[in-house]
Amino acid sequence: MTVSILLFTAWRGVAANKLRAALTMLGVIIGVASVIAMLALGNGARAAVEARFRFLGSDEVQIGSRQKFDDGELAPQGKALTYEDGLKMIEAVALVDDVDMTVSSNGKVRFGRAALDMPLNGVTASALEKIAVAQQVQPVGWPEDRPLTPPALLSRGRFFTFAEVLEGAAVCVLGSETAQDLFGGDDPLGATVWVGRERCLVIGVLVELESADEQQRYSANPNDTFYLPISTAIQWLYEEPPSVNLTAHVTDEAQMDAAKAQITTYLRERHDIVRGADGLYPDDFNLTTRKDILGAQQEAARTFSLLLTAMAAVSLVVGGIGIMNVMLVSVTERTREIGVRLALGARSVDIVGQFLLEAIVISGLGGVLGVIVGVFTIPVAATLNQGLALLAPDSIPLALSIALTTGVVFGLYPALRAARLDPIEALRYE
Amino acid sequence: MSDPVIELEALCRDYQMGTSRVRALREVNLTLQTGEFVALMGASGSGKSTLLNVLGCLETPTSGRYFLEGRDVGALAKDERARVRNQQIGFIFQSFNLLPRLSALENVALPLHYRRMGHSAAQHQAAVALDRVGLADRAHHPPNALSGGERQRVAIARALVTQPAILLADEPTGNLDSATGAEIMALLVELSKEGRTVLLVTHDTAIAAYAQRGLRMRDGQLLT
Repeated sequence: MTVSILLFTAWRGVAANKLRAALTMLGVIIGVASVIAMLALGNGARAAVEARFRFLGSDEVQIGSRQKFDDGELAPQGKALTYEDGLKMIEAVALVDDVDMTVSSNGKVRFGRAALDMPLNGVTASALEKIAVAQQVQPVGWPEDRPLTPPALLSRGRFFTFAEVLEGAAVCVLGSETAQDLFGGDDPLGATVWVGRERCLVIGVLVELESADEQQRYSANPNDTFYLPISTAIQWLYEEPPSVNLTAHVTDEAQMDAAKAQITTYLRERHDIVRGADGLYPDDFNLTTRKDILGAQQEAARTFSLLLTAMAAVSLVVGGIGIMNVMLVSVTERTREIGVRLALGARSVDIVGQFLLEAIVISGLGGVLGVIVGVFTIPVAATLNQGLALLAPDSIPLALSIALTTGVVFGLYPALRAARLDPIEALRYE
Repeated sequence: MSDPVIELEALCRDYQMGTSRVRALREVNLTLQTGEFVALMGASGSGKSTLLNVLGCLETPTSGRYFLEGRDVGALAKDERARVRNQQIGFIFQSFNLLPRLSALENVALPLHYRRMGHSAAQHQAAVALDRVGLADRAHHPPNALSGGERQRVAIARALVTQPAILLADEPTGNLDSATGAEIMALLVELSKEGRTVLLVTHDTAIAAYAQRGLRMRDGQLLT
């Protein structure tokens, strides 16, 4: 028989017993759906990790405070990382040549009658450079292939100098929307705005920015921003030294491990951490490099692929046994039909093809339905996993091929049994 | 009308029944000429079904030779026999043996699909065969919407559609009332007159009377 007629015949065989076929598919549907959902969970977790650390350069060490739960709130485990910690690190740690620091706190900004209550960012002088390198945001309409430079981010004026950051100068740089909100169409450059009770000179305005990732363009607004030198922000916005985010730049990527050791020694000294009775240091900070993240990611990927293999195996067996069972029943029920087909000149391959294809149609349909069910399961899985579930595109062909393999493997035996029937016996079958 | 379609030389067929061996066909010699209409009669257990199965290449002889259109088909492998059945033999069964889920036309086209004929050519050829048995207007009915006589006509069309060397009819009127049976026999006579070779198996002498020649079997032997 030609393939199209074989397929049509197989389809009719399945359609003749819709309920039975649907129940048989259930095993495959559940198996395939769980493969899709599993992979989505893994993919979501990976995407979340990547989104958080994508902008960590290979020469950078992210330094964070270790947190613990205290009265239901996250609090630093020991001493918080301070501006001083970061500032002195540049001098004290030989392998570190620069430290980026940021703090963020809500505050009031006023100019004339316009007042904004918004997050105020305290940053170091290299903040603009960091934005350009990270490429998380870009000027609206920026061509994809053009490298982003720090000057391209400024529409007017300039960014902070090292000196301004060190001395805590009363200067600020505005995002384009903040400038629009405070000044309307007027030129903000050289104007003085009020930050709380302090007067602050506007020295720069950023161009209108958009998220480089198109999918995030509607959720995040990168223009509603206000920058102060970090020392100024600490002075004006905090009563005691706040916890800052630190990113250390290492002079030589090759000596990353040595640099981490130096940073550790330096921070232990500053935070008065001594070796405990168990021989371990009760560190109150974490060092994270790109290599650490990649390693953790690979570890997670390995675990997920193991889980996936188990899932696939279970779905293969459960769905497959169901298919085999139904196909054996079907072959027995249709013994006479097989006899007629053999008498009319069907060869073994024709009979094998017919029943194998029927099994494949069942498993393939089950696979398609399973993919649909799996895709609709992802939002549910996401709510159970802190929003971390994202359809892995590869999972669809993978799940479908698992389903089809199931059909082939478990449909083969019943199909061979059908083809081995003796035509005379089969024709006599009642 | 001198080419033999079928030649059997000392054909034997044994069955293993438990520990004993039963000889169902004993040294059968038979020659059928092209265009002959032959009736094969005999009591049940006489070996006529076995002979029909061997002639239809559904089973192989234990010994002896079977020539179909001059070719020795007695010892062919399974798939080769399937090809012979498909191309040279047309079966007509007592219980019609139409596939219930297929329409009349699809039933008739089935053997053509097994010779890898394309869909539209097969449909066309099947329509011609259905027309030949007078059922062109019933082409798209499923078997259970047809009367017994119509079903057997569809089955005859299915046997004819491949232009086989021989039609093997096994009690073709056994499930039909006598009037309908007579119509079916008239159709077979017509086909015979058109030059088709027909072997009819029956135990009914009235039916056998339609044939030109009668053969009788007893205890696995062909009586002459």
